[in-house]
Amino acid sequence: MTDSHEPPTPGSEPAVFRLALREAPVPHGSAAASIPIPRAGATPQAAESETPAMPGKRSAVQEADARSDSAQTAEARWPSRLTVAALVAIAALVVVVPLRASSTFLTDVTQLAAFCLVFAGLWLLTHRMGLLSVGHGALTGVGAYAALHAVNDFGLPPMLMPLAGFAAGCAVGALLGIPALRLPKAYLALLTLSAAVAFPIVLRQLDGPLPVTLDGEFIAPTWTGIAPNDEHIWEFWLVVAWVAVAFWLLHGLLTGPVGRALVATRDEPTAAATFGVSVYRLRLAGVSLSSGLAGLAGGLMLIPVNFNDQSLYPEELSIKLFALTIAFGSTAIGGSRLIMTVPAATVLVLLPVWLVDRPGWVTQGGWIGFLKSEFFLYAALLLVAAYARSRRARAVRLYEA
Amino acid sequence: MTLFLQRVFDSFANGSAYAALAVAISMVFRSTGVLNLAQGQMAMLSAYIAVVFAAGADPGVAFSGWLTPFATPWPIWAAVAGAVVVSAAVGALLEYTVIRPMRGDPVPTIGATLGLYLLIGVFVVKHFGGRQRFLGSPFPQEHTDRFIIGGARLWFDTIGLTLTMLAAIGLLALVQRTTKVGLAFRAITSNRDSSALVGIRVEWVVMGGWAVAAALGGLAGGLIAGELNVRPDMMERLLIFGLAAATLGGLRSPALALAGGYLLAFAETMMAGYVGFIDSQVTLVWALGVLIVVLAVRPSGLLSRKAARKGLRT
Repeated sequence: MTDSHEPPTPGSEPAVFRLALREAPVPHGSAAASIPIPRAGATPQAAESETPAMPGKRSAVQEADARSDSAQTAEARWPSRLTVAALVAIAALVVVVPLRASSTFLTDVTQLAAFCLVFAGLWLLTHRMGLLSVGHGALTGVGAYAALHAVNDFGLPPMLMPLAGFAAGCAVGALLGIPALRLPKAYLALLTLSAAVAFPIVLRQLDGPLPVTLDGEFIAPTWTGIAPNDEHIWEFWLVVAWVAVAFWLLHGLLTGPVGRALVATRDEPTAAATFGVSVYRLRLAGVSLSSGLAGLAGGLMLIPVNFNDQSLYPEELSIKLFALTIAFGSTAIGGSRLIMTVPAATVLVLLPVWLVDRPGWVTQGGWIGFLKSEFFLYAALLLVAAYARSRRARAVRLYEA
Repeated sequence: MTLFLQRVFDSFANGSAYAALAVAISMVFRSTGVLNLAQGQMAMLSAYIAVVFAAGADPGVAFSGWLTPFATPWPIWAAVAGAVVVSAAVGALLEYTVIRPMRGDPVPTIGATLGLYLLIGVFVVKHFGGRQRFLGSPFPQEHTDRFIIGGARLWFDTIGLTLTMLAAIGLLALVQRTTKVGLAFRAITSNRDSSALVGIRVEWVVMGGWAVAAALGGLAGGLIAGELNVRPDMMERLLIFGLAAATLGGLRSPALALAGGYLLAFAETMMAGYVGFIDSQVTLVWALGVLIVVLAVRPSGLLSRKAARKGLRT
């Protein structure tokens, strides 16, 4: 009912019957091509099921059988080799980078870690729920604003301030989601883009034109052995700890029944409703959680940066976030994995740094300079990623028809 | 009363621009289901094209060297008309090269329109710089060119802008109702597949729809440039108000989008004028509030429910 306005995907009817949310696998909908099957990443069957365009696709019943067999073994719960390798690499970097890097660079990397959470929220929204948000930059700003004022005005311990950001993000996300989710998907993009444009103006009205500084410091406890003027190392580990816990919780949520139900609301909303999922409520919860993650990240941004300002969250940030979400984390690059938020955040934070280190690139005149400018790179990325994605969706549709 | 009347008059110019963008957005959306978030940037590009035409062969303005055969500066009405023609071509080109390959898939399509949003912005900043440019109005703008009604001044400029916009939108409606091309456009709005089956060249008509929408936005951009200055970010506010106005029409009714544009501009001027703590910048937020409330209370916009259901099914 909620989605009666959208044309049905061709060849989607049989999926109604094979969708049993608690036991059967994620359905092979058109967009299900982008889902890694949880818990079975390393098995050859799973590798096959990630490419549904292959002719040798097994029936859903066979797959359900295979899953109930393999779900018994501990091995099947193990993440794929690529994911393990990436996690080990990230863990190594988290230990090594702070000890080697300059404090400026480390501040960038701390922000990078926080942006991973924003991308996780966007990834959940875009790739798991099939919804669009062009306002996550603004939601991050909302989180930063709430966290800062929770500490400055209400005396919240700075250590807990990201929670205030999370709450504010959830609330604003719900506010945008309540009207938009009853309508075609384009409305959420419309509302979030409006929010992204409006946010810097609101913030200037609320906080004034000058930056507001956080009344709090992050001093490393003595047991860490971090020198007093090296507090950025402590700040980095603090942020990474928050991010790691949030990712762990999110991953747990998404590999369970809730995650499967979310995917079902994306591919087969009618079927999901038939199986007792309240599509609107689940989507609202998803949008709220996604916004909350952005808000949490906003709270974390204050740990390395210590102030909030209208210029930090312009609407271009929201568009860049959206661009990188489309490019990374779909099957185009690296498959639909939560871990792909890390390279996305890396590009977001380090691309400007890298460009500034190449003065010839930035100041070059004529068309060459145009082609090398940051916004052009993002525009090209968006267009290419969108094109690649539509090509893939078409291939899947043709195969299913 | 005088002040009130003055504010009503003041809202006409902005209202026309909001209405034009809203009509363009809902025209594209109802025929193809594509929410063109780059509509405002396309209008901004059009304003810059008008600047180029109006400048003649001015070495300080990019691309004006291409105009060497027509090197004298064009009158402003001609510059705006030229910009409208070029905008229509750009709109058709963008539909053909960027939007059509997406095949109506919502995520990639919105991504592509956002890509255009960035691309047009960076293109303009690159070639024209970030600073303001001035393009006059095609209508008389002397300080004596006005009517005094009830003590309030109604400028010829405002009248000309409003009437031109209304005439353009009216002409569009007339074309849709009376000509074969218009019939084809209405047919694909109603049912795309069936239209293809009865021999309508859907792709051509969609491309034409994009061209007309871009031309309408371009007209708004060129005319409003006499009020605002020409800046790379001149259309951000207008886009938000245009989207809000289009939402009042449920994104599907150009007539209601038109009314919504004037209504929002009226409300904006009144808020800024009478509510102390709201200055002219914050009215943007107010538009966002209207959007949220309207969508929450009447998701179909101001359409009747029956009409909305009919519209949504197609």
